[in-house]
Amino acid sequence: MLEQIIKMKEQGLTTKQIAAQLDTTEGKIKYAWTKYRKSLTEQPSAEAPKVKSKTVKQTKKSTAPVLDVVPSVQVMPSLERDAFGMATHYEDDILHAIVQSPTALYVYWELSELSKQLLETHYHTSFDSFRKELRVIDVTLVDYEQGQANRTYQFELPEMTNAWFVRPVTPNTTYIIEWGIQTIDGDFVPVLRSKPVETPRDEAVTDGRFAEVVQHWQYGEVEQPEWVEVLRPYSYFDRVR
Amino acid sequence: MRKGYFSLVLHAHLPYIRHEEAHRLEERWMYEAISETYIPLLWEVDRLSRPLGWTVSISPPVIEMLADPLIQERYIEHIEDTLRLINQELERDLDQKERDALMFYQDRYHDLLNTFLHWEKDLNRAFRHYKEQGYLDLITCTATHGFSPHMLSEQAARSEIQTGLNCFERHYGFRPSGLWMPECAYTPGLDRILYEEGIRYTFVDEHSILNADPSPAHGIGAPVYSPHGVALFPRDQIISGKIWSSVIGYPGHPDYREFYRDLAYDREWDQIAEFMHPEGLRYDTGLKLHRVTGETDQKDYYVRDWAWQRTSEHAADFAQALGEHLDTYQAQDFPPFLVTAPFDAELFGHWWFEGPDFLGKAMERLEDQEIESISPATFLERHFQDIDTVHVAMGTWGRKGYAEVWINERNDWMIRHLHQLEKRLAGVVARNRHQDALTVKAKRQLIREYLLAVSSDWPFILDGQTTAQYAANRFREHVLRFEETERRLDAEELTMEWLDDRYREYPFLQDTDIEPDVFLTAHDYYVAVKREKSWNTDAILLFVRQYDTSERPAENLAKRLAAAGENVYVVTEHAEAYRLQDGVHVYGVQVSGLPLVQTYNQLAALNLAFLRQAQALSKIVDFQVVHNFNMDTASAAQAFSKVKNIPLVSNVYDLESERSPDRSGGLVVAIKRLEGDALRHSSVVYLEREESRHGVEQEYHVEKKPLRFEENLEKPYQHVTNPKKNG
Repeated sequence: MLEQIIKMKEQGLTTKQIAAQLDTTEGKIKYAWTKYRKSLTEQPSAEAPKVKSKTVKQTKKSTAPVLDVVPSVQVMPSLERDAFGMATHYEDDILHAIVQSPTALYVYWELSELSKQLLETHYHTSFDSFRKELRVIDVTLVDYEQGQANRTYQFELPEMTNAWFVRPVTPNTTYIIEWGIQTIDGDFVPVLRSKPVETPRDEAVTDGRFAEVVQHWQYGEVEQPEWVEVLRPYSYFDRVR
Repeated sequence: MRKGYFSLVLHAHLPYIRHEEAHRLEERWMYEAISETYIPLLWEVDRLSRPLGWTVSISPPVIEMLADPLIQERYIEHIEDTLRLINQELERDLDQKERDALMFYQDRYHDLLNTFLHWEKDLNRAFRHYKEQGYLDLITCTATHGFSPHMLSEQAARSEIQTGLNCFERHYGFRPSGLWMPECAYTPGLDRILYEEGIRYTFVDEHSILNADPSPAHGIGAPVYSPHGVALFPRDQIISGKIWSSVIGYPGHPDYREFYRDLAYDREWDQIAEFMHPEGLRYDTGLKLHRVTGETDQKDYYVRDWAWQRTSEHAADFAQALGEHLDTYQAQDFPPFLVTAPFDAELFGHWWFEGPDFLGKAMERLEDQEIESISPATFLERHFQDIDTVHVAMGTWGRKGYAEVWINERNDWMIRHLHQLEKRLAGVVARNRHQDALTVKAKRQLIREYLLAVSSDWPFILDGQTTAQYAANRFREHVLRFEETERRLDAEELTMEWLDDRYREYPFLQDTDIEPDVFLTAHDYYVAVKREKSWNTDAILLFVRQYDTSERPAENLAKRLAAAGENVYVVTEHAEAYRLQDGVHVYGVQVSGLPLVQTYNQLAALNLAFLRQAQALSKIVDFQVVHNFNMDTASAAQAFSKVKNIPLVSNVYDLESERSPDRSGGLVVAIKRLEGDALRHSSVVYLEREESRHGVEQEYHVEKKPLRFEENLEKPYQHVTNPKKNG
């Protein structure tokens, strides 16, 4: 069974899916998998030769496929440091929104050199000259990927900001935040986008939107819960397969 | 028996403040907690010697410090010093009441020492003993009390939970089914991780339950199930407030000990210098000789008998009030009404000196009132079928009920660093899948540093602005230690000795507590094992808006290159995120979100999407050339080539000058400018049609002579030259 489990894990199947396919319980799958993972850890070093994790230029077209490790090309980049030795900026494109209260979100962002370069190239102007804005989008129960939104508003950001407390926002609402530039023709071009974030309720429910979806989930009618889960799987290789 | 239940939950936590060097002020927090809270609570448990229904949560940092021989030895020194100070004080000419108060402390510190030695200096043994006797229930908390709702990834939250449980199990020999979530913080999705880690109940504040959707039938009179099946017990604020409110709570009674008046500040420096910090700092001795004495600055001396007497009265009052409260809800069935009263353990003893006495006596009075004291675990055993399932929103027991304490203008600078560590950890475990002992140890050390950095105590302290320097320093220290460890791992400069030295500086958690791949996802695992190593070097990045169309033979070229052994990655506009087709990795991107009005801005959005995909790929793929197959993606290709310093190759089919020969205006000018820039920055320009040559050479002023694509199809990159830096 272990062999099958490993195979399916490698295909990216969840424990639940594997259990269904092998007609057994999730618990058994988990146990076998954990045991297997442990056995890997306990291997003496002689059996598992170390693979260089650095960027090593390999001879091209090395014939033997090594189904072992793909070393990352990118290790820690050298970064600018402040007086305490902390990085002042990570070479990253990220915008993350977190809940401070039912009426306030904290948003921080980082823009990589690549993105800045693209904007400068595309608009043929210096990065400093863009008007930077934050757009707050209410996406409660709609599909923003498809261009749906309940309402949006946006505001200009002062230069040199990399974080903002967005206030006020509405409780019990799902938001997506975008950092972008206002072009001279009046469009807002989003450059960074947050994952959806849900503001908590701050009063007792009158017309609840979760009763039904919780029930769907509870009775196993849906594969994924139909609400935003703030802690969701994140992968370093986010979009790389 | 009265109908209804009472459940007391005490959460013992301090940040990990153990330091190798002596005289760190913060280490005294631990001594104070032992002397004032942990041992006095154990005294009450021992005095009553019967099942109390109490649940005590001991956080991993506290467990580890209690078990630490260095802390144990220093605690004994601390007690002995205090006893010497008391003796020295007693030799002075003192007011009788002051003398009496000191005599009380003299006895008390002897008792503390005896108890500590009785348990062979390890109070974990004591807690474990009383748990095994069935007198109390024990649970724990996450590894370092990190604030889960603000973590970026599921893996980070899981590492805190799993590691905390492992640590507890190592010391206590079992895995609890309940877990105290730091700050009673809950957020949707956290319950799934808890459930998967074997946790069946935790605690939230009462507004989290009152605002649940749908509204639970019993309000805060019963726990609820979260959607993923974890029971959430609500803090009852009325009953908790009865004990602990600053207005109506018991601890403010004039007979109780005054927390803020310490002997250290009542003496001349010379009189106490010997017992103070060697660098001349004055700090609390723990000998607080005064009582609250009402709303006045003039404090009277502490009279132990009065305080003791007062706890009896307050315990009786509390039991009666609780009885009445339960009677109000006696109509509730399935399940009967439950009052859950969770507190920080240190409130009893440290802040309210007489708190442990009060708790012990309150338990006796509850018996008089026929109130059953029950642990959440027992409650669930009896009533698991009678609980509603609801959606609970993010909430905490902190100021105003949400996250204001842990993210505000004083501490928000921390969060991005923590998220970076999470991302780095995911990267480290994914690219270091090999399991040699050194790497595994390094991964564990990295996780250890992350855990020590993510402690909610640091932003909490910065919010309160007391000892803020220490908190900020500790936070930065662990981030920098993480980076140094990671750097050495990547550079292959690590040794076992170096890692051991690092560990010795903060010997928190044993290696066996930390699953080295806790930050690995099934997805990362897939990425790491299913690809051939050679795939990620000297690769070709092909940007093309439409990949498999007949008039744009990008597909033919990519296939041909792949067949010849090249690593070809295509980024194209497509609904399918990824496919491996004829040996070519084809990544589809699409622009999503609100539609843009202007064509040129739509193009910008498309290029951003292309760039993001290329950026993600470049984390694991080393590109040697970027090939722009049509001008639509010129800005992404140019930016990528420039910043990554790799050559750009462009194909020309038609140009704006051909498409719109008679048009002018902003858009045409802008597109032409963009095309011209890209062509001029290209190392090689290929023409698909000879008709384009004139346009490229004349209108775009490209100095390099464009080549015919067809003629160079077999070796399209033979003419590529490396661009100069910033060229």
